[in-house]
Amino acid sequence: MTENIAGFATGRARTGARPPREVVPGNPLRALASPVLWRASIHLVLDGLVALAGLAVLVVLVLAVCLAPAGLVGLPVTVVVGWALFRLAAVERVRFAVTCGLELDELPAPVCSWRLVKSLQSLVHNPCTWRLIGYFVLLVPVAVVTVVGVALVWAVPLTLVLLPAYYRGLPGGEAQLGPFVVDSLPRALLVAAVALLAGAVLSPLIVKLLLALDTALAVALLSRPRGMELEQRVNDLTESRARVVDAAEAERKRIERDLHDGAQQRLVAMSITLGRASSRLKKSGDHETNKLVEDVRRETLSTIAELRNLARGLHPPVLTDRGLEAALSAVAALAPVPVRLDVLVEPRPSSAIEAVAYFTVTEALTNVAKHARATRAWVEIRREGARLDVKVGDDGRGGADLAAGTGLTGLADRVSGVDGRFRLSSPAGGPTVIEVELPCG
Amino acid sequence: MRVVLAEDSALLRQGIELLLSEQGIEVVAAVGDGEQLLRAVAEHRPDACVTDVRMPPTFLDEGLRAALAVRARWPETGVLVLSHYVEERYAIDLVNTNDNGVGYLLKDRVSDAEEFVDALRRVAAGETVLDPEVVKQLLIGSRQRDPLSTLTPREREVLTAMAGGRSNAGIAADLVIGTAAVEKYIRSIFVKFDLQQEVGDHRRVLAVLRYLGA
Repeated sequence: MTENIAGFATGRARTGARPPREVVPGNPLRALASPVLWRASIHLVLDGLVALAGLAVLVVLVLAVCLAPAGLVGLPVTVVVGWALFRLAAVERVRFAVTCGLELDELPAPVCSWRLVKSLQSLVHNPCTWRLIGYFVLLVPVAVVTVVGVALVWAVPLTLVLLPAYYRGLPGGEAQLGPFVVDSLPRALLVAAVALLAGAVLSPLIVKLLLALDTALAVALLSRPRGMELEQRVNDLTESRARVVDAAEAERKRIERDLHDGAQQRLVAMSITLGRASSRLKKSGDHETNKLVEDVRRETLSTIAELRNLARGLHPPVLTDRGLEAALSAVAALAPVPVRLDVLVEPRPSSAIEAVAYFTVTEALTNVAKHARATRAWVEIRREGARLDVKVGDDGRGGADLAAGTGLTGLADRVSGVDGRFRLSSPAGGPTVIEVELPCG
Repeated sequence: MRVVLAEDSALLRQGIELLLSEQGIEVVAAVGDGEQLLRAVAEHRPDACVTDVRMPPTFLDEGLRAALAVRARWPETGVLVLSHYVEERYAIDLVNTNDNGVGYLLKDRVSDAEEFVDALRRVAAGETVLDPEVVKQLLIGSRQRDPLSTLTPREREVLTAMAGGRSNAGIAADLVIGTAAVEKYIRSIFVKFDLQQEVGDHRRVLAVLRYLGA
């Protein structure tokens, strides 16, 4: 079983909206040639339609809420309208993505089913509902501004640029532009030239401004609220961390299995061959060579013992098979100081939690052996409902320090990796007590 | 002596088979899992069988289960269980079956051909053989159980050797003391353990181990 741990990372942006991929270029000539400008203009025109749809939904919503006491009609209509509000928001997301390249995250949809009260509750409790209502309320005035604005931005320069072609057909054969009277071709051409220039420079700018207003509103109210975003992110991270912890545990098991099936078996097979050679040499009376072969065999045996301890430290098979107490009895036996072992864990926790508890004890006892100068140690593990309490203590000289770079740091990390709590009490002169609480729901 | 061998690693199976046949022991069947072991024992009725603990399908304790099944069905067949790790719990399972003719050794011990064959013969003869590593675990595990903490270091050494299936003469040679002294220690241990002295070495071992594994 091989998993790509990095593959669990979900690449989410930090906010509910990513900045638009495309913007209207600042250079007027480029802007006019760029499709972005025209897509933006179409977007602004469409604002009107969406605003009308939104208004319709809101009106029905108000009616439905007024009818809510009537229950039978009001309640289902409210739920359906709420659902429609979110569908309309989804349409808006698509519209923003297509016409301005603005990507908004999907909103968490409310429940919409025949269980009306539950559906209504999920609507009311969903912070996005209120933001959407706000969005569509504000969209009405904003749409008025954008639709009128975008119409003027393109209609006015176009009317003036075409002036030389039709000013003669106007009543009186002239056009009155404020104090300026257009009554001859040169004048008309002048106006057209000025309008062309002004339009080319100002129109893209104004479209940009209007679009900024639109996207600001969308980013503010159509995306997820920041708190919700963070909550979602915490959930994602918690899940992915749990997956990483499980994957690491599975990886340890796999390595132990591979060592067992590979290197350990081969070394044992080698020691057996050496044993056979040795016994032949003994029979033939070649004691010199036999001594050499025996040396190699003993060396092989200590390698096997080393590898055994390494593999057992990764994940002892007996832990999977028989649980914590069985696995720890051997650890306690191998400790250089007497260890009192007291384990009551019923029912068994998940294998990841069991492995962390096992690792806690082995790491703590390793520290006792290395640094504590203790004469005895004790291990106590209890399951208290959804919590596993692991305590390891010794009567050594104390002064253990997380910052000292002992294995304790790795231990604390591994405990926090499963949402556990780690406490170390080690005053100078001892005793040292490590307390770990692990969740096992 | 006729032996059935169960070991899932082909490399080791072959190695152990060769070693045994060179030591003049006939391997009547060599198989790769617990199921086949039971079938082979049923078919050949060997004097003893040697089995690995971790075998397919689950790679946990199949060999141990098969060994216990063999002891239950064919009491005249001794079982010697081999493992990369020796675990106190597995040892207790083996010796708590109220019978003997069981052995539990680290796989490393196989390389000392004479010692391995000796252990196998003792198991076939109905004695109990435990790896010193297991005995150590059993002794440590029982420290919280009182009677053991009353033993003197010397008595503890004697008990360990005894648990390993050594005879009084063997223990005397190991500790470089006289057999009379060994007998004195053993009597003292039994007094402290409040155990009736039984006939035969392995019986005492079982009594002691059952006491430790209680």
